[in-house]
Amino acid sequence: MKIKEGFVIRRVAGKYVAVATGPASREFHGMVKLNETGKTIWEGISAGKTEDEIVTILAEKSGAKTGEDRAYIANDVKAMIRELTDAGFLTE
Amino acid sequence: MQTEKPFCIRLAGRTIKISPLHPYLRTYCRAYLTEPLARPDVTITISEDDVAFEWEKSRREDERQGRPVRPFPDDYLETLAAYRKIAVAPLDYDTLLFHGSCIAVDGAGYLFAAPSGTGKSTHARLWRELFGERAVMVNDDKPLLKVTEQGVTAYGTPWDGKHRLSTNTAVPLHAVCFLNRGETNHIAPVDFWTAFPLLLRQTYRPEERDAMEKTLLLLEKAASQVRLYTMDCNLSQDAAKVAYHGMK
Repeated sequence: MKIKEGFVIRRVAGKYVAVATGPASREFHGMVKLNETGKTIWEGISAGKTEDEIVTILAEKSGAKTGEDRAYIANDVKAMIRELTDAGFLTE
Repeated sequence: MQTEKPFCIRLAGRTIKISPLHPYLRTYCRAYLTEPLARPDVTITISEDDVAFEWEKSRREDERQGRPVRPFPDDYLETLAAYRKIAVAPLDYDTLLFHGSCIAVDGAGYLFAAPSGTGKSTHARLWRELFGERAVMVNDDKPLLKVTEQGVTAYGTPWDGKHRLSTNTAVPLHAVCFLNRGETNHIAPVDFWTAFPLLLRQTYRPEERDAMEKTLLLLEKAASQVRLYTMDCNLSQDAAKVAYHGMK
């Protein structure tokens, strides 16, 4: 799981948007809006972390204690990764 | 090799010196010609390669759409090349290139945005029919938007669409309206985050990272300074009335 070459996030109005720059911007005209959690997920993917490692980072950040808390976070991460994949921002 | 003489145009308060290949570009820009300056704000030179790039881009687009390749002449392609060269420069002056149809009524600018073929130009024509002399066509295709702390100003440019509708003027932008085709006419305000991706879709996107960042910053500022609406509309005169009363 990798972020495609040229895709960046920038802060806009208290949130973040992911957009394409460079040659990738000729094909990708969309954007994805991210909140703080989304930003952490994006940065995790950028740093080469696995989905599970990203869930751990978020669980530590939010002080999640129970398995149930962690399951919620895992769901969020999965949904975000799906959204980024569908938008064409990620490669295997 | 430049055989044509360079000329200067004035866009959004800046002087741009253009060295063209063909005489048509000067004619195309005639409403914006200005006295030549020794030190223009921006200088662009069009090369044969730039024209070839536009031809290649247009050819690929036609192939992708599965239609016959349109045989555009070089002097028309040069106007596209000039637009592309000029597009990035305005960012240095807090100005965005926007794809939409901008009309002023009683001096206030209204900007209609939608994907090509939705009916922006048609809707703007309905406004001209409704308001007559009270309406001024700022630009039917690619106005410039200057974004400052005091608000957004829309400027005419020579790149004014199929019907060549624009005025060399500047108006304060009052509202942006995203149009969708509908059976009936209905307009409603939209919030920042509904509008932002739609605004971005209509804005010229530079490839360079810093320029993209600047574009996002300017769009954010613009979106928080003008009223934002979405409208379902048909092509009747009623559409113009509903739109105007919804936004004024």
